[in-house]
Amino acid sequence: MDPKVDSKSNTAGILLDETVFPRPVGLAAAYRFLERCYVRLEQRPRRRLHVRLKGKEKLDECALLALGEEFGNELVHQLMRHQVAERTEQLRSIIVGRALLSAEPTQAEPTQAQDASLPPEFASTLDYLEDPLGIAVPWEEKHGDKRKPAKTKTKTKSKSK
Amino acid sequence: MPALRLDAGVYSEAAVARARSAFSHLASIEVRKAGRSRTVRFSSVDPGAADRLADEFANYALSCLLVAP
Repeated sequence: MDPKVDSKSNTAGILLDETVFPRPVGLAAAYRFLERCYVRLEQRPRRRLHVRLKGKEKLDECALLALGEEFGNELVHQLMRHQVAERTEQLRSIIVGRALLSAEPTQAEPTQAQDASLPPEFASTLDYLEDPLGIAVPWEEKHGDKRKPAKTKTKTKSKSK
Repeated sequence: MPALRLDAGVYSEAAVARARSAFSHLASIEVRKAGRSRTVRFSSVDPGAADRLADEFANYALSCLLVAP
């Protein structure tokens, strides 16, 4: 799998064994390199895939070799991801299935209009624009008058001390 | 402009067709399947994109394989 560098054509070529790195792994690794270079894939006999990486700008031999070796690393990374995804496929579908089922409203659950925390007279006729609990009323309007007696209380406390 | 040859065993017809429609504003593109390869010919190419059109086309077709196989 060692990269073969051709500095004349500004390319690095890698031959993959698809029995080791399946096609989706090779494609995923190639996809990660699309931003950095031009990638061309070609099927070869005996389940091999040839990957040609061409620099978007002129690269020297060392840079091309590094590009090819980085591709090798990316292949291993993608192979790992592929294996983990295969291993956990059943578990993931169970989790997603459960999440979707639990998100569905059942008849036993109270809807907004039947919410037990609301006064019964509002429960059936509730509209989202109405404000039966006075949540939208400013604090000053609600509690403004109670401020003075609170002050007198604190004064009496300090006097007693 | 030289024709681009893509391996039909790797690049699906749908992926190449998507790339063709995405690049149609830069050139007239003709795709033909001959044996194991899809030959892509470009004509009336936008002069500003001529030097990298084939490579960008191949990259885009490859990305289509993953995003919308």
